[in-house]
Amino acid sequence: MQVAVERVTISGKAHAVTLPDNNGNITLNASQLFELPHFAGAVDAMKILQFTPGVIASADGDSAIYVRGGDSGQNITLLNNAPVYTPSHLFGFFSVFNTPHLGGLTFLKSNIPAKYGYALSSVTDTRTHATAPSKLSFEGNIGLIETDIATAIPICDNSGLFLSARHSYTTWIASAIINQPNFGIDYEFGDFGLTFVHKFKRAGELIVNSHFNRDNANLNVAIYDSNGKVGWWDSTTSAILKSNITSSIKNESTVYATIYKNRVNLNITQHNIEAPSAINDFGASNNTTFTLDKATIDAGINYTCRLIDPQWFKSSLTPYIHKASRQNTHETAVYISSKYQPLRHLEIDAGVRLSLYKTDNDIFVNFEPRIMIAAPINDHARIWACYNKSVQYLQFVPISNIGFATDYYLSSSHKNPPQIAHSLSLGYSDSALNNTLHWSCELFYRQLFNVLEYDARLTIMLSPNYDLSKYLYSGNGEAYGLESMISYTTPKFNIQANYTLSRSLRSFVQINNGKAFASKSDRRHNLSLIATYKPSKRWTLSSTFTYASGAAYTAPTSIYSVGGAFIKEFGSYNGNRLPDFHHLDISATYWLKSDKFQRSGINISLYNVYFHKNPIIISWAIYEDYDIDKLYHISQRHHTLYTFIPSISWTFKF
Amino acid sequence: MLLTTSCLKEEYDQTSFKERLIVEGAIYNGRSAEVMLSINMDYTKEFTEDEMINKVVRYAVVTVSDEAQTETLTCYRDNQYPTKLVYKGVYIKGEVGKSYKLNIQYSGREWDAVTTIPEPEELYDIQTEWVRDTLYRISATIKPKDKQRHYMIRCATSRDNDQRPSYLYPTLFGVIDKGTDEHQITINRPLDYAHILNYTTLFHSQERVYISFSAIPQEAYDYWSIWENCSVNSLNPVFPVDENPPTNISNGAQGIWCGYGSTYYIVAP
Repeated sequence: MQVAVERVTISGKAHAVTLPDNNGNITLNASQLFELPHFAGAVDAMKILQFTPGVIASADGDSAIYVRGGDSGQNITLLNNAPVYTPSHLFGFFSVFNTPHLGGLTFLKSNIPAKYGYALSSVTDTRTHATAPSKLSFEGNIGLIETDIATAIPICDNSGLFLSARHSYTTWIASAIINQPNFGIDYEFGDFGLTFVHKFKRAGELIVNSHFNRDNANLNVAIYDSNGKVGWWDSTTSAILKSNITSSIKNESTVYATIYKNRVNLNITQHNIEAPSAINDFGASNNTTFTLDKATIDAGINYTCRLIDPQWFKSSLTPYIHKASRQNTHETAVYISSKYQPLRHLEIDAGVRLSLYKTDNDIFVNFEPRIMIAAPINDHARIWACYNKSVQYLQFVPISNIGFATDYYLSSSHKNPPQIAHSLSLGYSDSALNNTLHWSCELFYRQLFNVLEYDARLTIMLSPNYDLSKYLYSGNGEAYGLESMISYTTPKFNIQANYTLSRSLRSFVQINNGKAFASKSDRRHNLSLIATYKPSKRWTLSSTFTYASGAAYTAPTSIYSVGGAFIKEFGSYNGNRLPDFHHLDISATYWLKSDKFQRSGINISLYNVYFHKNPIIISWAIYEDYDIDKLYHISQRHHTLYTFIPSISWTFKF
Repeated sequence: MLLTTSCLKEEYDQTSFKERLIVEGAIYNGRSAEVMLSINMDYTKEFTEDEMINKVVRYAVVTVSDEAQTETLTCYRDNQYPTKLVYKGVYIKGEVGKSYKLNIQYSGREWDAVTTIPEPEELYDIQTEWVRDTLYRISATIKPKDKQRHYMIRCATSRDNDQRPSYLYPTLFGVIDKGTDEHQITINRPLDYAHILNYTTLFHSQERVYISFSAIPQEAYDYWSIWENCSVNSLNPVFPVDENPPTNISNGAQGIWCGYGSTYYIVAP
């Protein structure tokens, strides 16, 4: 049974579309993906997740999302059961998935079934189309920032092909919007998708999918005569075999390979620094679903061989190369879970996951129980309670603090044991006015163990004595809060408001004298509004507003001069706050043609319409006064990555 | 009920400006001590070079002691020092292996620090190479006596052959960690923060470069290595800085009192 808990409002053609979700999780199918609002000229399925209670993506330039006080590396995105390590392009503006290529998306943050491991905070399970297309079709978007196109090609009655591609021309707009003096950027991204679908005459389907995405940025900084290149790519290939063994037993087997590579090249004053990292995943899984009278049982096994090359440094500044040795890891998990409805007013979704993780030197075994009990009070209201224990073996090292691609992964070890989360939530949802008004709220409390903070400086990374493990700290965390949502949906007008009041704290022996401090994901208030209005068949208007309390950061409190350099004295770790983050975006689409099979429309999207400057860092700047004998003055400066971004695009399907 | 089970409590020692004494003191082998003193500035306020100069401490009582004697340093005006004022000694000259105690009394408060001068070493060789018509690069070879020693390179330039710089600035990437074998290093021009857009690591053909190559004690390495990262990456969001260099000065001051075992070189193209 699915009951609306967090309902995201979507622009409808003839009827308003609401997102069916399940006890704090969200599910979107292909037709609902099509109805999503435009962001920066394109429809983006992943972007909508940012308008979900408990999810924060509230910093310009930060491509990560933060779920229920968790860290950015505690979320995983799956494409046909295979992990995609960089699910977004261009500072999080676009997801790497071409929306028409997707058949559905499930976002799990509350009740995460036992079949999902890998991540502590959320799982975004995306699926390509699973059935062959019946006719040839083209769908796409040609805009100022990017062009994407997807096509569905029937091969025969039971087989078909889905192709998609995207290419950006962001260099000009990146240079125009990135508001940094003495700073040049050349940025491009692209992605390609290919899915082959075959339905067997006997019950069953084969889905072979391959996805590739890449981002490349060249940076030129006048200061220090510096330039740099940052590039990364993700290649994911999987094959899923679905079979209906009997009418009540279904089986899904998957094999996959994911390769993620990342390279940072910095040239500072004619000195070169290189910092590559990589992950190679090879995995297989099998899930069997048994449908009984009052219960559905899932049982299965996952195995992943993960070869991790943690970031290492090579520089012309020093003769030392810190080539980190490759980490060979094996993660195996077996699980069983059941959805059971013993009574009309009682639903139980319970499962256990037993995971075993082996590295060259260590073995970890963890037992992960998960349970959700829901009680439908009447036809429109229900309450539920969830408990999840999750374990994450792949550790994410957040070097940059801004979710940049220099961040990298490494394996758990005895020095940095697996991260563990205990999550508890209690929710209530209701609806009224003939199911047009919905509201829900959910209390959550999470305890996090063995979370990471990284504290190495660039100069020590280049030193012969650099030892990564010295600068990776393991600590504990705690997050709690209240998520709430209200939505009103009519055929012409939809509005939804999400508000989250939360705290997220961390405690490390080595940081802030062992005292607790606010985590980077700690935002006291987080508000998002999303509204869509269809005044006529020709027009679709939508608007989104995002507000979040400023992120915690370690602020300089004073500045002084030693050695001829200006040195900042920093206050307590994460003891200060950036200004509050907010922006209003609007989008208007004029449909030249729109029906079930064909559409053509012109979209204009405006990001941050009131040009609000949301700083990503605060530093100082020196200004020379040449009139007065080259005297300088120094003042604090808020660095914003971008403000107003316009976009126009032609959306089509035929 | 869930909210009341919270057990972590946020607590911060310092989130706003606190006035501190800033000390940059040095005693080289064979030379008398020199100490610069200033007061830090509130980061949230805009200020000018003049205001920064006004934060230089002029009327402190600064003494340096070795095991046998104590000398009170005299305050001189010297525009070549970043603070334009420097406290200098005359009688006590730095000796290799000896410890020196610094004492500062100012505004009713007192600060202390102790340092030792390590044994100096020489650069194995120095080379110059023309990179462009008017610019040249300096590189040098280091052959450490043992792998437990830290080093630091400073330099200053002069276009007037008669004027020897009185203060040498830390070079860019000039702090060298222990554990190094024989290897070649580049001697980069010190960063000029007030004219950062025109900065180059190379030296101009008219410039004569005065270089010091110093062995430094552990506490000085701890300070200068973090200082170097703070100065190079203070505007870098990708490799951010939020660390304070550890000081060996007592009583809440910032900075370093450092003994340098130095050898000196002059390079002219």
